[in-house]
Amino acid sequence: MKLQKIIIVGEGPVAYYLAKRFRHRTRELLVVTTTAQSAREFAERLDVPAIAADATLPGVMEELEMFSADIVVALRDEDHDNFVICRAAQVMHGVPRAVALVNDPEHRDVFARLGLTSVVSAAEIVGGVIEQKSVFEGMLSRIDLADARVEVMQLRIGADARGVGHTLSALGLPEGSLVATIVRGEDVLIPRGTMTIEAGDEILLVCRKEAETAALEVLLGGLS
Amino acid sequence: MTMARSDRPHSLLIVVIGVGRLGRGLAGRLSTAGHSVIAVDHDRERLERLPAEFSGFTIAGDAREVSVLRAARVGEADAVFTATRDDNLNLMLALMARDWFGARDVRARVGDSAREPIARALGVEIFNPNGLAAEACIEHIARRASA
Repeated sequence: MKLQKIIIVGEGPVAYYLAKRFRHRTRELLVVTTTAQSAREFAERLDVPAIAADATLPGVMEELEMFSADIVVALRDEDHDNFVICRAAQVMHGVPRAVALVNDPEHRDVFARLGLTSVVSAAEIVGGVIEQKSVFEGMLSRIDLADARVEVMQLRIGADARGVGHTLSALGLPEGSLVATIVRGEDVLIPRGTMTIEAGDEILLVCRKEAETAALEVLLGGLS
Repeated sequence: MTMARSDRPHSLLIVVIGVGRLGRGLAGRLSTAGHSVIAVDHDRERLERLPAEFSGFTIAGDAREVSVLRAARVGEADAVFTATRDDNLNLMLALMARDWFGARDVRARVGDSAREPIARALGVEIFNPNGLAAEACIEHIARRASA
């Protein structure tokens, strides 16, 4: 489906790559920057129409014909400017989707209460990735099978992993999980219950989705 | 604060966010009038420049943060004025005070009359210092002209 019209407000890297991504996928794309310099850059580098104006001003919104936009994306530096752009787009111009970028992750819930539901927080996204990374420290790769009902995971057993020193049968792996292979140095071992897990092992774990958390807890530990 | 309020039957709890030239005078005069005033600004120096007659509380912090607005008790306040120099910020803070904290009486400074339609569309009560000053001058001239 080809979109009719997207208005991107902002001039940072997110605005740039968003404009680049959507320039051929929408009938009309318009970038609104705060400085004439960056408007020229958008026009020259992406061949995208760009104007320098304060998109928080009602007169400017009318010039942009904001009412005809399907999507307005507000990517300016300040949360309150993006809030005003998006709320005015919705309330005054009937724009169906208004997306705001925020610095303060708490503003996501706050803005939702104030009527703005499409809010993106970079800090929250990056924070989520970092937290997930530390939780699954030791996961080298994963594959979803059978509509993600089954997971196949390649794990590295670190020196402080919980499973180190335990035999497979004593680990207490949950129902619906299986250690399929242990790679130890050059050796590929087919697991038996009496095998002891060592630091540095690479394990291929197969498990049902619902057993995943418990299985990782048993092998790697430190999940809370 | 509770004592001060019971001493004076008409004393209200008022939060002033942003104490630049406008907010400073507002906070000082409301305080002189006997109200309990909480002044919020991210700039400590501006809080220190509040007039001598100001006897309320000050909170140094960025009012965009929920925790700062909570500390300023905007939810309990009888009135909240958002009076920073940024109109868009004042609108957002007013809506946060009203719709997130449930403040009853909220007014935002909007200095650029071109932005007033947005405030109206979002249902925010505003005050425009420039507009009020112009009105005072026009009234003065009207009185002169009819005299």
